[in-house]
Amino acid sequence: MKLLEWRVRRVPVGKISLILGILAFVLFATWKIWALTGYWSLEPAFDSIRNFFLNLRDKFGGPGELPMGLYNTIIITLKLLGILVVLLLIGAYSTLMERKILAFMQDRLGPTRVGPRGILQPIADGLKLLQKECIVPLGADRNFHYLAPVICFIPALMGAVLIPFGKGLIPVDLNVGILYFFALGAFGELGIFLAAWGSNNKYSAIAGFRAVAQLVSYEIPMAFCIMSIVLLSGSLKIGDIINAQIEGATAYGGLGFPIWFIVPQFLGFLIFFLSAVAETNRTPFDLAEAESELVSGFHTEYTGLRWAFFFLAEYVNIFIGASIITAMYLGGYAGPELPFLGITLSSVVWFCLKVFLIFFIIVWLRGTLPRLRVDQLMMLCWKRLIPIAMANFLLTGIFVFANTVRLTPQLWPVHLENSAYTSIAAIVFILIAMFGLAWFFAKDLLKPIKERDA
Amino acid sequence: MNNLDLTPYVPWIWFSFFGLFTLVMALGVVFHRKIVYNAVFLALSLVGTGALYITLNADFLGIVQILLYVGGIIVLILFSILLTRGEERGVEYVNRNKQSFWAFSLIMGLSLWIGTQFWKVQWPDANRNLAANHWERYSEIATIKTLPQILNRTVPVEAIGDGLMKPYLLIFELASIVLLVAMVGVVIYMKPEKERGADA
Amino acid sequence: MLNFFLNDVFSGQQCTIENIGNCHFYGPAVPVNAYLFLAMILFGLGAYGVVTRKHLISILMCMEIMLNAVNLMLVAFSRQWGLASMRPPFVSTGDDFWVYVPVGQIFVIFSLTIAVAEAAIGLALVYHIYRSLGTTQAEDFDLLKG
Repeated sequence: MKLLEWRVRRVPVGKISLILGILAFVLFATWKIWALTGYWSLEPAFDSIRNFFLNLRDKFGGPGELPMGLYNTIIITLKLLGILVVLLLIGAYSTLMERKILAFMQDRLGPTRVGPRGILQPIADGLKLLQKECIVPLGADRNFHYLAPVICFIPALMGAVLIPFGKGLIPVDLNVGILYFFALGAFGELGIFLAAWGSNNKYSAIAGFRAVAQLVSYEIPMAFCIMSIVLLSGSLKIGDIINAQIEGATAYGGLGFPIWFIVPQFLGFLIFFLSAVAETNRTPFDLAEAESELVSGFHTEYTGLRWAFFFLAEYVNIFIGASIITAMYLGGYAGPELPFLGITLSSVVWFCLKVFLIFFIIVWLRGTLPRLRVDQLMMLCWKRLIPIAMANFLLTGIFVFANTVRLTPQLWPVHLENSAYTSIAAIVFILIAMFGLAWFFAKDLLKPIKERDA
Repeated sequence: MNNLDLTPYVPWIWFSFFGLFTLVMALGVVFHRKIVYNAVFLALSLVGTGALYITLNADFLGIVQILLYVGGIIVLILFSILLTRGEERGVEYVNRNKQSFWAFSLIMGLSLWIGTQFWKVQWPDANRNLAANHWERYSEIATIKTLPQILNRTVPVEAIGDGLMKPYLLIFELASIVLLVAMVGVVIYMKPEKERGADA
Repeated sequence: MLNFFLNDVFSGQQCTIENIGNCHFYGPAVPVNAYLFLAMILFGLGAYGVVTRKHLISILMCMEIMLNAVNLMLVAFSRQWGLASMRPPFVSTGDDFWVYVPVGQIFVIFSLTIAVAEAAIGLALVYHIYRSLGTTQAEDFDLLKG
């Protein structure tokens, strides 16, 4: 009977209300500054901060130069707070979107009660989760049990600093760029493992095993796809990758002609998409949190706000994955300028449309496909996706080499006239040859699993 | 307030923060008794080291460190902890006797002494080195800048790629072969005896 | 004490207003000696752990700490010595230009490769020992004692 005792913690109402109050204040202040300084430009707000520091310096007679470090820190903090709020809203509302889309597919109505057409449902859900008590199982490792949601949640938020929301709206364009997302994904694995270990539950333990094996395996094809993209664009920066698709060239390289990378990298796109779905633990790859087998896996023992952390982290991760796919293959924020909106806003609209398209396809997969078995999952990764991704990488190298030859007439074996026609013919030839080679390599691998590995 | 300007110390603040973090986590690895805790402390210590790399202008390496260690080695270690059933109950996992005290004193004294010797070193003028000639011979340089353009910036990935692909290409290939051999060897070694015989 | 820490070991890498865009920190950089000191302490801790821990996987973890300390030293040296001045070729006049020579970082990449191989082989050995002897305690492997 001892196992049935639960250690119950009271809900820290005071702490929660304090945090909510601080958040509300910050939100209000940010909004006020934003509203006072013109809605679509934050630069005047930053100027006012700068002026504040200048005034301080004049008043106290400090050193001659402005403390740029502090100034930058405050501005970056402000930007990050804005992104945080946007991201949490996205995480909350993508649940509503998913439920509505699934309802549409299954001929239901979905949530309708809270607010007009159920539009306030996520907020109601959040409030409900805030009120629930957080339970720690008796024999569990309490430290790991507390730590796991945090380790899952914080990297999901940290990924937001690199999302290219629009033209000139990348919060911090790191020069390691796309590798940063991978580093954060590694933390996600650690968090899931800690949750599984700290729950003292056999379902969670099985889920932890499955999740870690799955995540480690599916990182490899993703890495190969990213290397192909880096070869094509010549840079790791997100901004440069998008620019290489819009303008055709960056300071470091590029193809010389503008094209969305989904065209020369269609195989890569498919592989990356599948791996991203597997990395975020979504159906049909949701073996780690299978409700019907494992009672929702590594967060079986979690309740209340901690469970909400896992939930939010999952949806924010889906959003980040969709953003990476958009930035790498669909041209990011590229698109024609819309009427009445201006360049920046229309780029934001295009980015959101593409991300929503990817999100819709992910939900569509969930509504359509059944769950894979563990052996099928591993076989798909190690025997299909990784060889295809490696072949794709090799072909991309050949393609980039051929394109470099095309761009430098000194390397041509026979001197042709460098007209637009020869250029277009060369590009078409290279693309067709690449697809043909890809098909030659991949056709054996794309056969159904039964036929080949019987 | 008059002459308060913390900006010269900002790098020191970050260094001390990440350095202390790494050190405390390493202490956890060495002294904590539960082995799963050791693994998590090791992960955090390695993350701290990655942050120290970033303070040393080596962004790429910092990220690669986190990616490789937290995503690869720590997961491997956690898996093998699970496979070997964690810790058995009632077994002392750390040696605590007279010898351990003397070992600690000796090793820490020695390393602290070497560390203080490092403190006293006046390195020759920074950024002028003998490797330059070596480099000049082998590498066609992509990043040519004047000194104020280049000083104290993050080392670009192209420079590392140049190094790996031009002067150190042979070592790079050898390292990859070592890795491949290790992986194949581990896979064969971990197979049960019967299957091993059947394949060979 | 502060004088000791802020000695004239500063070797001049100053981040100024002109190049703030790509700098992590504003101000003079931390001298390399501090990093070397930290790395020595880490190395000593790792060595102590290797000597005293009994669980095999713990010993492997302490070895990772030692490797990591060495890598930290390499990166620190790479910052100190990572730039080289060159004369422009075939031209007698003109300023020197500067190039990155990140030899230390390249060595760290090799070192990481070796660390990964070491971890894989070491853990495979541990698991094999566990399967054949049923223990992971280092002191239980006394088969050669007779």
